[in-house]
Amino acid sequence: MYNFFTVTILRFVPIYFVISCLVAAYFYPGGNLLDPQQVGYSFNHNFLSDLGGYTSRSGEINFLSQFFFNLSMFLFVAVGIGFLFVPMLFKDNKINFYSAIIGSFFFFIGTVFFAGVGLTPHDLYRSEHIFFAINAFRILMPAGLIYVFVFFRSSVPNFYAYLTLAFFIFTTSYVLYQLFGGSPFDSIDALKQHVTIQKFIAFASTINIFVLSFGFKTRIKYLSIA
Amino acid sequence: MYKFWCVFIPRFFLLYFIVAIAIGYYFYPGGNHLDSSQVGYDFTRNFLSELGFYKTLSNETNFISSFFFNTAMFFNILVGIGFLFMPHLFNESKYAYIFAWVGAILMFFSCLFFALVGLSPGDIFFKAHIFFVQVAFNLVFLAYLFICLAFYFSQISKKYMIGSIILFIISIIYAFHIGDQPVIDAIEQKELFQSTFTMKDLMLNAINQKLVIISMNISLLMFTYGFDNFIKRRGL
Repeated sequence: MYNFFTVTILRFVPIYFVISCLVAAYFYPGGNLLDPQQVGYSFNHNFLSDLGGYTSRSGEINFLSQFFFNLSMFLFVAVGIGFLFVPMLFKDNKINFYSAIIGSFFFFIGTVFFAGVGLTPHDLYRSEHIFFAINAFRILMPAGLIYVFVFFRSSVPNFYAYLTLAFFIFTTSYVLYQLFGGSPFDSIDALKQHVTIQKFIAFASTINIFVLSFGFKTRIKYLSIA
Repeated sequence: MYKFWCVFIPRFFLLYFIVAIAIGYYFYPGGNHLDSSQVGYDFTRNFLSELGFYKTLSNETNFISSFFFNTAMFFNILVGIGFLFMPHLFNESKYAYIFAWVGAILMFFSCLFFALVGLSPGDIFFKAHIFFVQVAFNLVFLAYLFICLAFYFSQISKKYMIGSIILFIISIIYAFHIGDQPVIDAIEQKELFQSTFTMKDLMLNAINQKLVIISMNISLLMFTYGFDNFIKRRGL
């Protein structure tokens, strides 16, 4: 059971997310925030959320693209549930165990917010969509920091602690960028900058979750549970 | 592994399907094939596929309802993969093993087509939607027949076949009922649809469709108990 929730799920969802984004990009009809005439999806002109729009930025039906993208976001709930099992992998040390519970709680809420992004397309539920998208990353900040602490104190190789530290730094930087980085509406260059940074942070988070599953696998082996 | 794919996955699917239908029902804005002014979803006047429509027949946005219904249909892929693990449970008997493999392959393709139903809402991909529905149902009935035969030739209780027998009886009645009915796109050929079908026809079709789906799901659930019994007995 622990192997399923803390390893299998944490590997499956990130892989599914990446594949879904590629499939969704393929089916995306066109348009971006500043140019509704654009044909198809552009990785440096479109936000990821554009894939989940009920209609595309060009005003066309966007069924297949939104289906794959929104489902992949919704599946992050499973990652959150997986993280609720992680504290048991650190039960051999009281401080680690209780810290992991707090960290997992934040991870769970953060992933529920990601699912919320998938359930609120930007063109139908704009304010809810922005709320979930912005706060998901803010909630993941304490989650990442607490797990850095847990990993450094546990027998998990330090590589995972450094990786999570990098994730924490990226997430914090992105949150600051969201607060002070200007508006993507300002110019096409501003849009490209926002879009590129969003993709970087989204895929960094995805890779982090995927790689952490290997760290958790080492704990499962160490504790001889499955 | 066998327990995960043959027992846990189909049961998870059934649970998700029921929850998704309930959520879809709650959020469905309204309209049916003959009355676009209907408010909300009506189990006796709406087909299940309508929950997956991009826009409802009342011409309203149907995002939440379609998301849950279509994802539930899409998860059929997992059930299809799960059934490919099933034949190994029947390898004690040669006939049971062969029938199980035929049933598993048919079930895999049936599930694939059910998943495609979720990817082709009837209001925007009508022809593809009807094609996928018809192929999926035809394959699933054959698949259940072969899985029943596998159970019959195995050394396990025959009680796990009850759900399928109920399904076959309902399906045969349903097939006779809809056999001579024309396939008409209720959106593109609205007037023809309304002149061909009465509300009574619509209600009969909608209720029958739900009976078939319910019996299919009961049958699937009973199979999982049969598979679980095999897995426990053989310590897999």
